[in-house]
Amino acid sequence: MKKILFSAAMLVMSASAIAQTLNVQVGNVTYQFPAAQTGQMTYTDGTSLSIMGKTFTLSEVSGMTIDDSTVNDDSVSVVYNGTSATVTVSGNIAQYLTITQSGAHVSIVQSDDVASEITYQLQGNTTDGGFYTEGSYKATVVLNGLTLTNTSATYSGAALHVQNGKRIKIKTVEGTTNTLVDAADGSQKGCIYVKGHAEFAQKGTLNVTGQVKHGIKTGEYMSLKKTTLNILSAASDGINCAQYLLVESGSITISESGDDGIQCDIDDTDVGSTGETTDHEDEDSGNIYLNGGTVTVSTSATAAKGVKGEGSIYITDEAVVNVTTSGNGEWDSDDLETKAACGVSSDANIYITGGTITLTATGSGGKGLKCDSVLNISGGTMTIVTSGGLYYNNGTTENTNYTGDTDNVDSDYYSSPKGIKAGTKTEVTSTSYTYAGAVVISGGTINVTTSGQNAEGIESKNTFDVTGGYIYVDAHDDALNSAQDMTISGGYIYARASSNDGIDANGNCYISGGLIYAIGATSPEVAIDVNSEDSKQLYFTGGTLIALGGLESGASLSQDCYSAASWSANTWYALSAGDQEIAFLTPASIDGATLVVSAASKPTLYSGVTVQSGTEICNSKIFIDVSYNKSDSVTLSNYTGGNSGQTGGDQGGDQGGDQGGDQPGGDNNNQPGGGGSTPGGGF
Amino acid sequence: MRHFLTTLLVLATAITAQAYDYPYLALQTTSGTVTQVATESLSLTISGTQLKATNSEGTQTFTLSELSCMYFVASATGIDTIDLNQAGPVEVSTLTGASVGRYESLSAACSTLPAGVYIVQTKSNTLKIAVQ
Repeated sequence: MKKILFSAAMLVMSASAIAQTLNVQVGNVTYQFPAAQTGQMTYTDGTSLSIMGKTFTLSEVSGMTIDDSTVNDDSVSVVYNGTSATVTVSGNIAQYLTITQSGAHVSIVQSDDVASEITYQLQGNTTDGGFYTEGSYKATVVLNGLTLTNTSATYSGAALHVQNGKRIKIKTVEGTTNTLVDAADGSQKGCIYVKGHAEFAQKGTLNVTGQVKHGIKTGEYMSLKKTTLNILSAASDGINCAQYLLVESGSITISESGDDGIQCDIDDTDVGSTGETTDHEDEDSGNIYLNGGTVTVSTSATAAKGVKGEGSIYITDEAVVNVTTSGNGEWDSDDLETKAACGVSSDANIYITGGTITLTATGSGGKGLKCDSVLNISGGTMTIVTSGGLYYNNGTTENTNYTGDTDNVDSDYYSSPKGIKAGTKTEVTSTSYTYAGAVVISGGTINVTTSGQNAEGIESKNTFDVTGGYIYVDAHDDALNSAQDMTISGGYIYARASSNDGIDANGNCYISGGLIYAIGATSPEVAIDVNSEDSKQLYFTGGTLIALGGLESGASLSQDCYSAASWSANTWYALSAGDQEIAFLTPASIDGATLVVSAASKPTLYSGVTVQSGTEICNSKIFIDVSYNKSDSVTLSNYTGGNSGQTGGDQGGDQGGDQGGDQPGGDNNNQPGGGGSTPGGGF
Repeated sequence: MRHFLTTLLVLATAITAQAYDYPYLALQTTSGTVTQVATESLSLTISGTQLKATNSEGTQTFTLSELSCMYFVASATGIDTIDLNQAGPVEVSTLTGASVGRYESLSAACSTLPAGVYIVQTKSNTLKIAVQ
């Protein structure tokens, strides 16, 4: 008897062996069991078959086949096709899923025994379908070319409803376009609803329409990286999330919303904000982080906010933010006050360290940017244009372009348009207030233009501090305004008001550095105003100052100031002082406005210059480090501030002489001041 | 008598794409009887109280109430000691599952088969052999 040793060598399994799959079909659902994983499959009483923990009722099994399909563990595929959908489930998770279908509506409920992350891949087309899943484990949804409209709201009115209160990744496959529309009738909170936290990723395109409420609603945080997310329309917010919102790259475009474009709130209001945490671990702050990518919002809803955070808003790095609001204000019958639209709004702080921001508000009362606490700008480029008028509504009567005097109008009854507003001023008694927040600018480039009634450029309801940056404001009302002290020690500022003061501090104003070109409106408005009625003062100790409209009376001027004998409208002037060469453009004629200049060293002022080179700043109204052809110098007289400030007469040029009478300080009407019969002469 | 070296070659290179990991599905009844059906192009349908297994070789019918389990039969791997004279019969098929024939014993099959690689189903197991 021969016993021959057979060596049954191991075959190289890669190219020469084929893995097999047992496919068990139940209705439109196919369960795929890799042959290598099945082991013993048990029949019981001729009525059931158990495979890898999943028990099938044999009468429901339409067939079983064996092929060489590749099965990825922990995966479910749903392919929508008109009025139906085929579902394919990998065998290792089959026992944990309860799958029900109605036409193209698919519901998958995960058992709590699931211990691995399941990936649901959705693709195909349906005009009445949906995907609903619930469970207690994190999951991934892959959108791989899905066009789905939910019509009959079978398991949910949402197009995509993930009831898991865990981390849900939503991946949009690169190169695919996915379009989701929720049911027109339903109780869904969003076209895409995620009870937990949603992380959008990958470079595909996702179009969302929310017909009942939000475009996307998440119960917890939301993040976005690489995805092109388009909220085509939403009945309420485009995106509504809690805890925090993080945009790292990709784009969010909200074309129309019935309320805010993006809103982020604190989830646990009983506990309150955690503030920003390390790596956002367990964070519940209501903060919005725009660290990259592009956010574009357009909304015409009344009093809508483009980007709204219950917490702070951070705009950094290469983020691009474009917001257009066109809605008017409205009366809030709950809070009994008017509310207005705003591009970017925070109930806390706003920090801008980078990025490119463009905010446009055309509605009545509309603002570009607003925060209830501190606005801190240290970088980035921001352009704000508001054109709406003042919005009035007392709950009964509405006026979308109120032009009356608001001094005796309850502040709850009107919303003023503004470029930027920061902080709060709260009435304690009729004569006392509390102040919070601030404007703090240390860098960046800021361009603000307002044209509506009462539209200030940049307003702080508390203090206003500038140490750097390039600030251009062309406003209808005060260009820069603070409810308390204003301090300028650096930066470049162009502040023009067409109907009020260029710079208006309702506390003291301290100027110790920087380049300030302030332009006030017709007298009695001034270039730089303080609340002298309340014994506040302007303290000017340094910097380069060009004040068209003069300074508030009673100013403390530690650095010599000079007033021009006259000035011409729409003309380039050059200010030369030591190494400093500056050119600036005057506006249209302003009755009664005196041109006051000051620099670290005694300046020479030239009119009608032609700029040859230099660095343009402040919307091309100022050149620094400029070279120009020198022209006629302007007679300058000593200036000591306000209507009584000019002593003049001994400055250069061919002015002076016996003009100005015996009145000190002139009358701010382009005439040289005081001095009586002192002839002009140079200085 | 043909002298043959009955050694299983190590097939270190890819041969064809038609070498299945599990060329057979074994269906076992409550009485212990095992029937193996080739898995290539195999479909199982349930019709009333019966399970029908259909492949290129035809259809075999099983009574559901008599089935206890089924399992895939893997390719032979490792080194086994085989008794060439073990009691037959044995069923021999090609790697593609085509039946070659039925032999009284493994020894008879090995001495008759031309050179090549075959699947041999004995009473107790399934082997892959190479005949030179």
